Amino acid sequence: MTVALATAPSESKTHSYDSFTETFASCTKKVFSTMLGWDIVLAERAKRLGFLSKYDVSGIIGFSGAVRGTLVVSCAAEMTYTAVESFLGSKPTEITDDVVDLVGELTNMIGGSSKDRLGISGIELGLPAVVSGIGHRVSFQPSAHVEILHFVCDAGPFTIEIGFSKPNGK
Amino acid sequence: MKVLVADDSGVMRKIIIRALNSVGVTDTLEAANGQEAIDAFKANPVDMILTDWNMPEKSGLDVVLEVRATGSEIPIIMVTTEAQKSQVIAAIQAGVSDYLTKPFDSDDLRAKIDKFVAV
Repeated sequence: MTVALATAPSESKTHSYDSFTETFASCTKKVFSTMLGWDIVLAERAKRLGFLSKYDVSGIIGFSGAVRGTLVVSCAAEMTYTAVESFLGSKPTEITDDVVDLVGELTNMIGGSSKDRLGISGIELGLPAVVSGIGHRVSFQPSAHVEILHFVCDAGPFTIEIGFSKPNGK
Repeated sequence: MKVLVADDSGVMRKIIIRALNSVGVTDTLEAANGQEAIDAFKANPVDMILTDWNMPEKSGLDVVLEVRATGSEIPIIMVTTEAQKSQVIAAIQAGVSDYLTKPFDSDDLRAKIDKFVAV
C-alpha cells in the first residue's frame, strides 16, 4: 500500500507505509541508544485492527503538512522509572514530573529525527503532549492507518504507534 | 567558567549539565524559558549559553538576538531537534556559534564545547 503525499503535482511522490515505519523504527533505536545508551529490540510489528495496547505513560505528537498523522510513544511505568534513574541517579516509584518530562522529550526526539530522516519537505511537527495513567489506552480514528512497533529492552517494553491520515479520496 | 543552560525540559537541562560536568564545567545556571535565560544572562557574567530552540515566553532564537544586541560575543550553542536548513540559516544569521541536534550523546556535546572552551 502506498501513501500519496499532499504535495503539488510536480513534487508528488509515493512512499510505502513500510518505508515510513522503518524510518520511525530506526530513529527510535538511535534516540534510545544515544540518549540512554540502551540497545532496544524491535520484537513485533503489528497493525491496529484487532489489537489493543495498554500502557502507563504515553507521549503524543502530531505531524501535518505533506504527511499527516500522529506518533504515540507508550511506555510501561517501570521502564520510565529506570530511564529517569539513568539521568538523575535516583529511581522514582511513581509517575513524577520528571517521568512525564522524559517521555515528552523522547517523543519529541523520535518525531523530530524521523521527520528529518524522511527527507520530505513540508512536514510540520506539533508540540508533544504526555498522557499518564496506569493502564490507559490511546485510540486512533477508525479511518487512520496505524502501524505498531513493539520494542523490548532490559528495562521493559514500550510501543511506538504511528497513525497515518489517508490522503483524501484514497 | 560559567555556562547558562536554557531548556523548558527539566530532564534535558539535567542531561546537558551532566555532560558539562563530565568535561569539567561545574558552574552552571539554569533557565526554563527564553525570558528567564535573558534575565539570567543580564544578571550574571556567563561565558557560554546552551539553549533549546522551542521554549515558552521567548524562543532560543530570541535569546540569541537579545544577547547579541548587547554586543556580547560569548559562544551560544543551539541544542534542538529542529534541524531544518532554513532554521539553521536563521540561527547562524542571528549569531549562533554552533548547532547541536538532538538526540546527542555526551561525546557529541563535548566536541562542540571543546571548540570554544579551554578547560
